[in-house]
Amino acid sequence: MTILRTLFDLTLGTAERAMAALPLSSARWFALVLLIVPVLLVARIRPQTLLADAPDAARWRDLRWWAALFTLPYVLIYFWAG
Amino acid sequence: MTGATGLAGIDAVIIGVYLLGVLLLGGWFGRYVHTAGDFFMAGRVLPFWAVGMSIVVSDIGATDFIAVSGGTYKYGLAQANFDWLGSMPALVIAAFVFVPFYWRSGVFTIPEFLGRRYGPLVQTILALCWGVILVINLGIMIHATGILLRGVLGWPPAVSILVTTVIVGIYTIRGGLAAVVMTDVVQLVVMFVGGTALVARALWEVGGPWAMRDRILGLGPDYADHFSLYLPHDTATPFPWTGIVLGLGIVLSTAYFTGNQAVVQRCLGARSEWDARAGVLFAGLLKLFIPLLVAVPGLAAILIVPGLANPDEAVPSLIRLLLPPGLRGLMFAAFLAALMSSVDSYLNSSSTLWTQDILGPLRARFGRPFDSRQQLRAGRITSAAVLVLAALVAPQIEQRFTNIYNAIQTVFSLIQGPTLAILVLGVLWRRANRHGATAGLVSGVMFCLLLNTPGMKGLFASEEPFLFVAWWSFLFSLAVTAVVSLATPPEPPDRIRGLVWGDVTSDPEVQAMLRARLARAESSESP
Repeated sequence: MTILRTLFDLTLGTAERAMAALPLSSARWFALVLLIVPVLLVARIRPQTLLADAPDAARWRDLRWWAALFTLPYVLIYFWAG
Repeated sequence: MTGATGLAGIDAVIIGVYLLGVLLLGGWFGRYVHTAGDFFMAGRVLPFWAVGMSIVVSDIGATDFIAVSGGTYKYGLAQANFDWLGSMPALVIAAFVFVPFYWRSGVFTIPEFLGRRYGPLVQTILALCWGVILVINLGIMIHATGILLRGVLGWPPAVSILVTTVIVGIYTIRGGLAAVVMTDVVQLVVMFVGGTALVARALWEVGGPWAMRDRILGLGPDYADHFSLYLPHDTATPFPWTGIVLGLGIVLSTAYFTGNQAVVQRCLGARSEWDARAGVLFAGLLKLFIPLLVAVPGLAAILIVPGLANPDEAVPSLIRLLLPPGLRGLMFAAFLAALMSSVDSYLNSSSTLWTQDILGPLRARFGRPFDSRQQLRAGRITSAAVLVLAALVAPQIEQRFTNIYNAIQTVFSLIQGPTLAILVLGVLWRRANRHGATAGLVSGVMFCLLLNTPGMKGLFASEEPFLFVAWWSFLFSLAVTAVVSLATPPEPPDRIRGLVWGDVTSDPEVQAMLRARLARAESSESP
C-alpha cells in the first residue's frame, strides 16, 4: 500500500498540483466549452439521419435545433452567473 | 386541525388521494403487461414527452429534494452544477451518439449491449457491478424517505419505509415500465406544483431572492462562495471547479445519461428512435428548472433555520415551519412523488438487469433458457427481492456518509468511470476488443476501490473526492483498455458489425441489418 501511495502521490499528486495552478477565472471558459462543443458537433450530423424514423419531416423535428435551443439558457447561466 | 403527526385533515386527504391515484394508475397499466417486452420496455410505445419527463423525475428523487437542498444549505449554489453542467452536455451526447446504438441493437440493457460488443464475460461483470450498485442506490433512496418522514411527520423510519415500498412495489411489480413512466409523468407535475409552493413561501419569508442573496452574503466569509457556481480547486467542499468540469461534466454525467440502466431503459421504451432522442433532449430542458425547486429552499433555510447539525434536515424543517395545512399536504405529496418515482424506476431497472443479464444467461448456460412468460415472472420476483434487499441496506447509509447526495455520487463513482471508458471505446473505436474491455473494467473498478481506501486519504484536496475518483478511473480504464486491446487480436469484423459508430451512421447495409434485427426483437416480444 505504501508503494502504491507513493506512486499515486507522484502521478495523481502532480496532476492535482497542476490543476491547482489553473486560475479560477478559467473555470467559466472550460464550462462554456463543455456546453457548446457537443452542440457544434451534432450540428454536423445530416438531417436525413436524424429524421430517419420521425413521423414526418417537419422543420421542428430537426433535433439539432432542439439541442441548440435547450443549451442556450445553460450557456447564459454559466457565462453571466458563474 | 393538526394531528399528532404534524399533518392536518386536509393534508391527509390530499396525500390519500395522491397515493390512491398513483396506485390505481400504475395498477391499470398492469392490464397491458403480457410479455417480458411489455414489462421491461413498455411495449415500445412511449412518446418523447413521457420519456423526457420520466428521465428527469427518475433522476430527481426525494434524495434531491432532501439532499440537494441539504448540500446547497451547506455548500451553496455550486451544488446546482449537478443539474446544469452535469446534465445538458451529457444529454446532447446521449441523444445523438449513444441512444441510436442502443435503439438499433434492440437490447434491453447496457450490459447486454456491451455483451454483444465485447462478449458474455464483460456483460456478466458489468451486470453484477450495476446489480449491486442499483440495490445500494435504492437503499439510499429509501433511507432518504426515512429522513423525510421522520422530519415532517415524526414517524419511525421503519414504518415510513414499509408504507412507501409496499405502494411502489405493488404498481411496479404489476405494471412494469409503462406503469413506472406514466406514474412518473403525474409525479413530475405534482413535484413541480408542490416544489413551487415551497419555493414561493420560502422566498416570501426571506424577503425575495435579492434580499436572500444579500443577507446570506452578509453572514460572513463562510458564505462568500454560496452564490458561485465555480469554487476554487482547494475548496473544502466536495465541489472544486476542476472536479466539476472533469469529473462531473465529462465523466459522471456522461456515464449517468449514457450508461445508467434507469435512464437508458426509458429511451428503449420509446415508440421510435426519434422519440427516444427527442425525449432525452426534452429532459435537458426540464433539468434547467430543477435547481430552482431544490436549491432555493436550501438557501432560504440558511436564514430561516440557521445552524442545523444535519443539513439534510433543512427542507423538512421548512415544510414544518412555513407551509400551512393543505400546502403541507401538497408538498408532502410532492416528496412522496419524488421518492416513489425514483424508487420505482430503479426497482424496474434493477429487476431488468438481474433478469436479463444475470439470471437469463445463467439459466441458458444450464440448458433451460427463459421463455417470455418465465422471463416476465422472473422480472416480478426479482423486483420484490431487490426491494427487500434495498430496505435492509437503508439503515447502513446514515452511519457511513455525511450527506445523502455524496453517498449516491460516491457509490456511482465506483463504476461510472470504467463503464464509460469501455462504452466510449466500444462505440467509437473498432480496435477495442473483449480482452481490453475486461481488463479495463476490472482494473478500473479496483482502481476506484483503491482510491477510496483509508490509505489514500489526503491524496486529493477534497474530503469526499468522488469527482476526481471518477475522472482518474475513467482515464485509467481508457488506457488499460486501449493498451490491452492493441496487444491482443482484434475482434472479427463480422462479430462487431453494426456495433461501432461508422457502420451505424454511414453503411446502408448495416442499417438495413439493424432494422431487421429490431423488427425480429419486437416480433419475438409479442404474445
